[in-house]
Amino acid sequence: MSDNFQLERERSSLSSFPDSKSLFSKLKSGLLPYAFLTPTLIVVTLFFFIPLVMVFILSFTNLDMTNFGILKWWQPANWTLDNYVKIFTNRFFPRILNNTLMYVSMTLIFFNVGMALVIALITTNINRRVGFTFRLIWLMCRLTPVVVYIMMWKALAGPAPMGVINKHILGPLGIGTGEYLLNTNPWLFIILVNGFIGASFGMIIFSSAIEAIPKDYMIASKVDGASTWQTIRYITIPMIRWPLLFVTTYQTLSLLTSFEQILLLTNGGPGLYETEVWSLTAYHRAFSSYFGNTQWGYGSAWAVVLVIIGIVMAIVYLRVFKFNELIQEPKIDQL
Amino acid sequence: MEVRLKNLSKHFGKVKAVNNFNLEINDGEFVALLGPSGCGKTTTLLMIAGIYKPTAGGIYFGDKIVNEVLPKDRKIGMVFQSYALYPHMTAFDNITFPLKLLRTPKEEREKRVNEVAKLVQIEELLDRKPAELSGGQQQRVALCRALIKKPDILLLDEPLSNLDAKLRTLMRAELKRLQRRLGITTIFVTHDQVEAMTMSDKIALLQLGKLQQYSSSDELYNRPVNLFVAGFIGSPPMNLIDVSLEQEEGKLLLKNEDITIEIPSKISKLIQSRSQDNKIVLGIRPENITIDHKRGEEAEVYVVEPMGMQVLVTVKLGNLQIKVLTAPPFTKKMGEEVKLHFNVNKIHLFDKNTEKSLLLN
Ligand SMILES: Nc1ncnc2c1ncn2[C@@H]1O[C@H](COP(=O)(O)OP(=O)(O)OP(=O)(O)O)[C@@H](O)[C@H]1O
Ligand SMILES: [Mg+2]
Repeated sequence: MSDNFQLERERSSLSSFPDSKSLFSKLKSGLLPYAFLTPTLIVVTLFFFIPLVMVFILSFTNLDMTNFGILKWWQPANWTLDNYVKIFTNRFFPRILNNTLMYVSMTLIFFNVGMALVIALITTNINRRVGFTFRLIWLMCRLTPVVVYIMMWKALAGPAPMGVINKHILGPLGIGTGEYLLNTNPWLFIILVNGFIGASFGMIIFSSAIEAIPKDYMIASKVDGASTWQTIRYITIPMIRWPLLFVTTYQTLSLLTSFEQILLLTNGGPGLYETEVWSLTAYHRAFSSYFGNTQWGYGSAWAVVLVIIGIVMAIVYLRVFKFNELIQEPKIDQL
Repeated sequence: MEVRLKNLSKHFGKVKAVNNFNLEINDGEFVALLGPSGCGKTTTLLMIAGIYKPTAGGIYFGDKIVNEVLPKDRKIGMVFQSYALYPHMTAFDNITFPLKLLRTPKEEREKRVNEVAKLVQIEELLDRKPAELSGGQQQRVALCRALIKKPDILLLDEPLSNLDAKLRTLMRAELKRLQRRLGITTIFVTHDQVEAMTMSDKIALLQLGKLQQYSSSDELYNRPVNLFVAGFIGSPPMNLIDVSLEQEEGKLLLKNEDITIEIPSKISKLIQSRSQDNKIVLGIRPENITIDHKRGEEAEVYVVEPMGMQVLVTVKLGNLQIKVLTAPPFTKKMGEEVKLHFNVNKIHLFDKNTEKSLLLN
């Protein structure tokens, strides 16, 4: 009886304001998602999008320390392609390009993907606890503050009486003359220093991906007659193609833009531009020119070219790994 | 190929997954490993496949002990409960994967695929990926992958449990025919007694890692060696009633407060000599009790469940609930009186303490 009455009342209240109610709820459901997005949008716009546009504009100007406050850099009349011409006609351009390619590809192949994959495969094939402990230890280089970490490597590479490697390994073996190893083999150390940190990222991603593969596939391939190596090649690797693509792309981009380890380790030396990479050049031009002049416009141009290279690389990876094939059609059951 | 398991055990830490398992399988036989979940069926199968190393005991193929032989050298084919088809390969590549590893030439591979694909009629599906196949089709592809190496032994781990009821019945018959035709020694794991009974020559019934009984399905049904087997096999299950053995006026009776049954004279001597303390479990299958007889134990109808061909009637006899199978039509309603007649020639008797059958050796 009372239930019926309640229902009746609700019905009448609904029918008396049909439009206002639905309009309000429509408005609410339409705006609500944007309300949630707003904080993120503000942060991304302020700290990423606006600086990006500014860097892009600056790259067409010759803004530097001397004309700061005088040059109206935002006026198209002051925009030219001079900076880009300067980059590509620079005497050291081939060397910097070469350095960058070597730095990125060597670190990527041997450490960030290569060694990461090897460690992941080994630590997931041995006793679980031992594997886990090993990966935890490997993470230490990522957890160490970068300045401390570089100081440590400098101590390792130091000249004869102090340097750990010279004193305890090369000396007793009678190899080398006890020189500062960062001067004799700067590239080796740059790749090692970056690689030891970089490998830990791929190691974590790969080992969790490998552990997520159902055990039945491994057992099936053993029964089918595969050796450990064949199981890795035909089953494990294809099944972690997506994380492989992700790590390769992500690490290429972060290696292209990272320069802090090189800055602290060799600062582009020891020879003229010997270990100067692209992102370090952008930094040097924009913030610490040898002549005390900080060329913000010129540095921005270097950075913009780097961003374009990064985008091109990402597209190439998606093609090479056949990204489309990684996304499977949903299963439709038909008996 | 003959397969023998001798005192086979596998322990995972404290868990005795398989415990002192003995089994002999003749060449070409179809044997089911049957048992409730977690009783060690998969573990046994994986030991035979060479994936797990036994904690103790031996596995023999023919006269050869194979404990140390690698899976790839054991000449086995296996179908997994999950099928374990490699998702990044087409059905064709899945099936030929074992041959590819053997570096079999391409023409040979194609010929062999067509042979096995024809056996289970999946010729049109070979270029599809597993995600584009139905459960039943995946199961057939998995079967082809197991068969393509022409294995001596086929291991099947619950291959039918992911299929719907209709397809399962169909595949049951097909699998049985296929096994007979190819004559491969087959070990089939299942927790479904109907599958085990309908398909296999022999059934090994396991519980908690221990073999309970190894015999034909007929034997298993009609001559269960212990209480577990009696309770596990049969659907609806056997009625199991606690009674004590008593002697009255020269007759041997099975008695509790609700029921009195006279033991046929031909087995009374045997029972008397074997029973330790007169505590006995009486087992009788629902189809061996007749309802509505003129004489017999008085009982009350509790539930009536028509099943088409038969009617399952649960009756209340004092505190006991007893299941009876009878032919339709059954007209009595819930709460009405019926009389029960027990076919005493079909009873099973178990010692309450040892749980062993008193009628069998
Ligand atoms: N790798 C393992 N590590 C530890 N314990 C295990 C392992 N594999 C199986 N067990 C244990 O051994 C026992 C038997 O497991 P098994 O998988 O053989 O059972 P099953 O009879 O195949 O059961 P189901 O019907 O559920 O598949 C279970 O108690 C299980 O928990
Ligand atoms: Mg199992």
